Amino acid sequence: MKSITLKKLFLMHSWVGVLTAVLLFIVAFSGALAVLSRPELKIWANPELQSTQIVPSSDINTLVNQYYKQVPSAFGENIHVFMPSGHNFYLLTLVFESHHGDENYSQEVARVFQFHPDSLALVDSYYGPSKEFYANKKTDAPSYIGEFHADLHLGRPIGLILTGFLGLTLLKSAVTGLFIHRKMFKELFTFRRSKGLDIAISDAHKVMGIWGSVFNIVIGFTGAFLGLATIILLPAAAFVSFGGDQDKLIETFTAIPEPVVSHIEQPTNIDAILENAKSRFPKAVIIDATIMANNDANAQVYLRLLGGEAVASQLLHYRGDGEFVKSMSSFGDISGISIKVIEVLFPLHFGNFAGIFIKLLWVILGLTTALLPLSGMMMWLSKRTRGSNPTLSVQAYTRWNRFIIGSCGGLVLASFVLFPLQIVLNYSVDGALQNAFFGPVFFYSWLGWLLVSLLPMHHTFYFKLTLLLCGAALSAVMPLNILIGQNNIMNFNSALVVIVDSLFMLIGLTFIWAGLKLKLTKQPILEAQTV
Amino acid sequence: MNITLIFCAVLSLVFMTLIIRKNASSKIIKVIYSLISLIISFVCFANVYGLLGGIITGVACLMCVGLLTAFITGKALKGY
Repeated sequence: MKSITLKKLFLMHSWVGVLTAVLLFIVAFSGALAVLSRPELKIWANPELQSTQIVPSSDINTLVNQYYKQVPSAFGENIHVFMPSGHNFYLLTLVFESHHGDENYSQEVARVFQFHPDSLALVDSYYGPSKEFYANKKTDAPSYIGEFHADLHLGRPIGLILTGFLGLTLLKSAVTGLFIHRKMFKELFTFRRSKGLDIAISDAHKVMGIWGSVFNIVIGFTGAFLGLATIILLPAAAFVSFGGDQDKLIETFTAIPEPVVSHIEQPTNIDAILENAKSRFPKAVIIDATIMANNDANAQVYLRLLGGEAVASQLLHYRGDGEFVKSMSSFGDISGISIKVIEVLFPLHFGNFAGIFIKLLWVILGLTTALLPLSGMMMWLSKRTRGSNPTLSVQAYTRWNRFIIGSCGGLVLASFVLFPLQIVLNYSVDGALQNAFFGPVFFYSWLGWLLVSLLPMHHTFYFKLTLLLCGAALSAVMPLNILIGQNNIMNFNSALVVIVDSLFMLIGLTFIWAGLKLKLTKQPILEAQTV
Repeated sequence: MNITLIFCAVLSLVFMTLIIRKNASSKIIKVIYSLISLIISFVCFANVYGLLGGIITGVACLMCVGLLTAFITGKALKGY
């Protein structure tokens, strides 16, 4: 490639990276945490889920039929059963929906009953518009971080467009990075940690960029697709194929059509259907079930499954009498390679197609994706402090560093603070009332720590404080859980809680150790100038 | 069984990255050993996660192993 083209690519790589570095870190770091949010950290955050995540099929059958008799017939058209698997609700949730409203509501309305997964005691019930129920469902610290990753809590469509756009910039940076690093194979293992901070950061940036290139390209592409699909791609597809009619497009791609009710009574065999799905795909998890026209001869049951040997999530279709019809993608039974590719995009982004091992790989690679823009930004800054005519003064260099630590370190701190907060909320606040606390604590702690960066202090000291506070927040989880938690390392009721608490303690202590080990220097750019 | 297979796959990939990293070996030796290790790891992963899942996991694991090997062992360029 011509040197002039390489120079242009290098400029593009630098400027795209510098302009989006902080935002990319925010999205990538929250994404790395979000990989573990469902179900692992969600189970950790909800004591109800810690006892069991599996409800016997016969009990589900009994509950559905028991409450089906209690609700008006219009609500039996569409029944959703959300399993307490840690992917969606923290309780076994039965949603009886009437699509055409009732005497009190002209919109889609639901009667909801929520049960404790272990005792199956009725914990909560709801009657009102369906949208309100889903919008106000109980959240927790891991889910809050997961939702923050999706749209930065800026609401939709602005948040989705922003994260989708950041996916595109990640893709562009990853591709241009591969072109401009011509010594790619030579630098596969080059990491000179003893040659000073600048060289170590430069080597780390290249090593992470080269080894993580495929992951970054995939995450950038899938992230852009997930962010922009509903905002740009859906209207575009509707414009091309359906004359701009988006509803018709959605109707075509909906996997669950409305059945024709025959009014001939025939019990829906939910028990046998659930057992059949478990025997067909023993490694997969049933996330939810949708029962259409319950106890009618034309009843249809759809089960959504995640995991097992199928990389993409599956939708199993059964007739009400228990006869298996087919397995299809969540987009419906549509043939064509493009649908297969779209199906795989979701698990490729979330890393949720198999077990914890794959999730850990996604976390490690996600953290390197977060560190890439930061290391690039540090290289860019230090380059401008070197030479006989540096373009960046000592003060400006320190201010920039404080801003990066305040914004990125502040996000890490705000995320970590949510975990001890979760323990305190589980002890003192009931159910969905907890929702009101996560936003203020998260954003105010982040903003507060960012404002501290305005104080005239050395950036190394600021970084040391950030590490110590992050470590303290995570280390507080285990003692808090022992003091006020239902399940903890002392009573050993839940192995998952013990593992998560121990990992929080280990990571927290590592942060504290790194913070204590960090040596304070009085010369902010001495090292940068001497290289 | 699955844990053993995953362990074998990761070990093969570690072996592969160490072979690639080693300067003393000739290119042909590196290619042969790397291919064998890669095939072993992909077969192990495919047994656990299915064909497509095995390929995706194999590539992701290779990236992680390579990254960690580079950070842990580190190596200076010739001349440094």
